[in-house]
Amino acid sequence: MISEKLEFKNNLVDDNTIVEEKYFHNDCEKIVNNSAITAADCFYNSISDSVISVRNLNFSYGDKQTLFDNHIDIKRKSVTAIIGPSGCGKSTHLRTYNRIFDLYKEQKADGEIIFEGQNILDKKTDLMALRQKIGMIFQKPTPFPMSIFENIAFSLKLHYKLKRSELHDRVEDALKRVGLWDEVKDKLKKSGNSLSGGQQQRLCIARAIAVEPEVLLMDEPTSAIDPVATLKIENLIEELVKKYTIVIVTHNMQQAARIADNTAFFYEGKIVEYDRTEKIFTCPKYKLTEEYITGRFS
Amino acid sequence: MVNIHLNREVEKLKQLLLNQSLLVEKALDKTLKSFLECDLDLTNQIIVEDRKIDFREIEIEEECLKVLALHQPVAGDLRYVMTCLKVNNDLERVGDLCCNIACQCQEIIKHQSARNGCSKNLELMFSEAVQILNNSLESLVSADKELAIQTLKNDDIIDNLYSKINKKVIEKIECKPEEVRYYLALETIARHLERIGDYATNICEDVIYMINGEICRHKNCHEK
Repeated sequence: MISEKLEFKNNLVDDNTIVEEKYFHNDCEKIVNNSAITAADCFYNSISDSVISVRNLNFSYGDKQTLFDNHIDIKRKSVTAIIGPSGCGKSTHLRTYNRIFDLYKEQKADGEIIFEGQNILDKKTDLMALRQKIGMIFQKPTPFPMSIFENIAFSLKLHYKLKRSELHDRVEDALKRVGLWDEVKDKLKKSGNSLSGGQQQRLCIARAIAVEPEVLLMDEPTSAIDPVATLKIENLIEELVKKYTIVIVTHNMQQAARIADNTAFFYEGKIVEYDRTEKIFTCPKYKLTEEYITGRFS
Repeated sequence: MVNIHLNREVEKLKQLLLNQSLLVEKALDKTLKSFLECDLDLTNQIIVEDRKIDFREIEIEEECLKVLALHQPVAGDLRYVMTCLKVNNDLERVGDLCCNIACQCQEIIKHQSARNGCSKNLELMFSEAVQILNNSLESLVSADKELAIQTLKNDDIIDNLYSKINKKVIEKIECKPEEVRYYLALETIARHLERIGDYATNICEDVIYMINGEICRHKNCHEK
């Protein structure tokens, strides 16, 4: 392996980026066409309790295909991190899990995403119910332009008919679970936008968990907040995973290493490697994964 | 795009470890020479030069800690730094053992007249120890897994030689109790050489881990 790496390094020196591109391309092609499915299958077999099973997922923005035959099982009550360079399809893949791409006509997905025994890509899928069960947190905190209390009460009212006292209890419970209650209990009527970035993100998480989802999708949830707020969110994820399944897209590989049980590495719309996080970060199976996580390319 | 900062640090580590390997190899060579030629000056030189090895051990450890703290390496880089830390420790111990052997050589030089028996096997053991250490370090520098596996097997040769010397020393002490100090010195040297073989084995196991992430300690790696 090392000698191959040295050879690769030498090639780089001799013939700079052309060799680099060819190398990555060949590696990726080889992986996707031949061995990755076998390797991945070994890992999938060890996932006995999957909450989402993706098979042959393809996705395109108009004429441009961005996901190719994605195949992955998401383990129940675990954190699964999706890593990969910009534009590799991480967020696109995540966005298929709750059909949020449906908002755009030119975006199309085909294949299977099995959740609770149903292919959620079916036209018959009740999107309201789906998005209650599979909530999403975005890169930038997105509090509604209303009070802190209403931010959470709004989603509760959308899905349940609750008495005023029940509503209050559920809001309080959600805020407590994200560790925000003590910070906001005296200003529940203030605008959600008045909170700091980290607090806003936790408010969004509280809003998502208030409706008791099964899965939480997080698309780079800490990339817009400071390290202390990031730590709070990471600690929160560790708590939340006791009850929910979490799929997180992150550019921060240390974050993936810290919080994820399993990690999937995406490259050019393909899942190159999917394994236990410790395996990915200590001894990845594929050179392409190794090159990415060791910062040999980005 | 290459992570130039991490690359630079890893290359620096490689260079430091290579220099340390050369120093330790040289120390063991000098130990053999001082034993064969009964060179008292050389034994003193080995003891003095061990300080350099100790100093470099600290330097390498600090470099490893710096890389871990500042660059948080993963995968192959992480395995390299971990291997570096462990090999560094082993090399320093080999340096200490060379020092101890040099002290025992001084004892032997004092009892020149008694020099007979046993020492042939000890010479053989010396050359095996030099060979196994050289091969283990060669496998490290050239990241050669096959050489590491092959070298692991050779530790048995040293172990067998040690058993033979041990038995012989007991016989000799029983026959000539007045030369007990000489024979104890021989036995001590043999024990240290056996330990050097063990450290070389550790290095080979670490090289296998560095190359493919497989921890093969406490397994029968010879069949792999």
